[in-house]
Amino acid sequence: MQLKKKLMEGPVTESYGVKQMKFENKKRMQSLKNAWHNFKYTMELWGSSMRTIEGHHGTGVVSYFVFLRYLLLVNFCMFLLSMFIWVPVVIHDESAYTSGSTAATCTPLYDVNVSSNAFELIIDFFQGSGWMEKTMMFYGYYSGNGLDNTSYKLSLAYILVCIFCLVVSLILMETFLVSDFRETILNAGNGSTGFCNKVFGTWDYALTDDASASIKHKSVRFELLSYVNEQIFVKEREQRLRDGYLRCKLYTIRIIINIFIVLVLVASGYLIYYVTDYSTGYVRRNAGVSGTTEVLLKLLVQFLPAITISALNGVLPVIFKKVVAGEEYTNAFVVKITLVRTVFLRLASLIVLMGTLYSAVTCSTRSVCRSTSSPCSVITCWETYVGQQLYKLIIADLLAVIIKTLLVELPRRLCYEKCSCGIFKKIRPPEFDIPACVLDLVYSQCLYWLALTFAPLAPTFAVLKVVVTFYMKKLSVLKACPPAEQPLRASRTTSFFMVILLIAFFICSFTVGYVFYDMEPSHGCGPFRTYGHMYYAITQTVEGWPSGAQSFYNLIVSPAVTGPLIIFLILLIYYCSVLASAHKSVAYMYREQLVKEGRDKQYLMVKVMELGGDSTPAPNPRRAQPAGLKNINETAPAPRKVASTNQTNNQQMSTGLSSPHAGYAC
Amino acid sequence: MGASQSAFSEQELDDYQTLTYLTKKEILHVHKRFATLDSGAVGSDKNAKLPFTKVKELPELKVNPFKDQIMKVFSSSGDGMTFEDFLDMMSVFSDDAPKAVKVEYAFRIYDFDGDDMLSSADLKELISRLTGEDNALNEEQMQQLIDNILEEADLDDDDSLSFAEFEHVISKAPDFVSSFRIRL
Repeated sequence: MQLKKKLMEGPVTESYGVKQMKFENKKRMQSLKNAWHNFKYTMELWGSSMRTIEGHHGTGVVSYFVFLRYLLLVNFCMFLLSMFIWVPVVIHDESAYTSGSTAATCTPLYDVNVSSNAFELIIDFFQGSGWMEKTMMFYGYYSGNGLDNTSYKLSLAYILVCIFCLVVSLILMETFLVSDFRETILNAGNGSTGFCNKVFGTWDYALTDDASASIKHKSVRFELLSYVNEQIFVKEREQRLRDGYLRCKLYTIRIIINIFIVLVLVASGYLIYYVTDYSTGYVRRNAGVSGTTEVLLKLLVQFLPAITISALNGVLPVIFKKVVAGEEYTNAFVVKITLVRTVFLRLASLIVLMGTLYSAVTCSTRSVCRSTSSPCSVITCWETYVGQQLYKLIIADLLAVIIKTLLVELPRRLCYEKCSCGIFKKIRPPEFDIPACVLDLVYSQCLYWLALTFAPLAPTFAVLKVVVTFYMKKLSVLKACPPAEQPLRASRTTSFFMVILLIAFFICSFTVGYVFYDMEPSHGCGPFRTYGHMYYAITQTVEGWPSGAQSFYNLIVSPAVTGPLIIFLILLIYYCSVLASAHKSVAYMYREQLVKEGRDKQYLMVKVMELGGDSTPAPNPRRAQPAGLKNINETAPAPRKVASTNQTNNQQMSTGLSSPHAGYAC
Repeated sequence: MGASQSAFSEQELDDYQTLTYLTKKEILHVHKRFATLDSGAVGSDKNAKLPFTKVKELPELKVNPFKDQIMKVFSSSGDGMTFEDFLDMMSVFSDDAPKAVKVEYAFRIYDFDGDDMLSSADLKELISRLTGEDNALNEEQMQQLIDNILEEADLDDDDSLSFAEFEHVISKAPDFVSSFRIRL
């Protein structure tokens, strides 16, 4: 505030003409910016909740909630885009297909039995069959026929909405990822061991709670000690591995463990395939049962794949953690590799499920209406069938979050606090495992990206699920889980999770692209029933354009343009990577230069001292120096005093210059 | 909120907003928190100077091991904090303050003996405060840590970190910005 006084006392000059206009503009822009900041601050969603969580647990846990809020944005955008599909259908009703096309003959064949039993109606809601199948939830309901009078082509809208949802998700991910990624690249590979980061960046100034603070002290001590111990461990391991026999033994152990993990992953993949197969077979055999227990059993069996996936996702990471102890990696690497293996597990389960569905749908006995019959499972509308499977997974996911928080974590915490009997003391309170939670989010986001094509109302569920997850996790974090002893590094893992999300995104978009490009749509249901392939919706629209635009479009998508474009992009990537490595070596050179200049300064100081005839000080034994510089460093401590005074002067000058700016916006 | 809003004129709020990194609502919120520390004194003079003992009661500062240093650095007079000092402090700790500003103040906070260098003694005090009184490291571990830090950060081999070296090493520390933050 002294600056303000100084500013007020300074001379006031008038400016006219262009200068005044520029000044006025600048002031206006500044006040607009301020207003925008004010608005953003009040509109920040869940801001106060995040601050409470930050006060209790620190910034690591908050990064998970920030990720969750970002996913809400993505899903909300998808929801808004999906309204282009179902809102027009709500406004205009269906009309019959005219005779003469395959669609006209196949449409009546797609018939679903709607039972009138109340119990069965509830079961149908969870399975997505019966009355649920004929609703707007699934692909099969849409026909686009009712909109023939308007110029709105539902099939084109459908395909464009799916593509745009993926593009919008990608753009949002990029904006979130780029800032994080930049930081990670800037800080990685600089030759630093991260010690200073641990010391200067550890204390979380946002903590407000006494208990959290004492836990933070403990965890800081634990981290610093473990870091020191890790360095000792690495040095010891290097010593030990000089012995060839021990090195061979360690590498063999590592290879065996990796093979074991691959086998476990393959086995779990096969288990999922087997369970899905059994489940579809059971449903096929017991298609017509009624009676409460049989129907409930059928429901359970239908959810068996989802239950198996969730069980594997819970059990296998524990096995991974136990097994990785034998590999003797450093702690940081252990965390990374366990994460990578868990990611493989999650994505593998999804891929196996998709593969099973693909084989069920592309079975050889297909009728002209593109519906499969025995000996394959009877599917009259394969898109709705896939949508139903995904719908079941989504429901299972939603219920799992609620059940896990309410029925597992809260009681565990209550048990830990209230019961003091023998067995219950062994149950430790639940931990808020951030990597597992983030992988859960990535997995469910994959489900929603895939489900959009087959169940256009899925984004509504997505938004609902994210909101429910936020409140459940907030409950879990504030009431059930105590602050973690080993806090997670906020910075590095966020970008890693984003990379995982990006990989999952590409797998999903490949699947969706394949469905649109190569799979023949059913002719009895859906908006594409009149087309041979789904992307014909786009080509038909293009054929309606004037010939100039048509030939331009055909040129763009032909291999004549896309081929060289791909080659050009590859070259660009190669050029950028070469540039990046060149910059890295330049940065290394600058660092060396800094060190040498420091040494230069010391040398000059020594010369100054010698000329000034000062006394010779004791040698500095701390560093081992190369022989050429030995005599300089023997006299190092005395010039340090002079050097430090000079540095103090310099630093004071710089502080004096910068402190008026410190704390103030320029 | 209504009471403290009348404590400041629009012009003052505008000025505060231009001079700090906070929005108007945040400034009013900060004033409210400041007033709760000693409502009597602040009610009569909105720029009253509160002694350090009263400011220490703020929950965010109470558990902070560096609270006395923080208060010393931001206090303009040396024996207490006025509202403007407090606002200054909240502005530097806010999300919008640039990294350079935070680094500068962090250096002053961690410089316990005030000689504009982070010597081994400063680092030792820093580490022992971080681990807490009852969790102290033993001599050997402490020395190992200090050696590691100086090896990584001290570029001119003078056993202490100048501001330039500190700034350089913080630019490589990814967690600094996210942890050097208080949101009221």
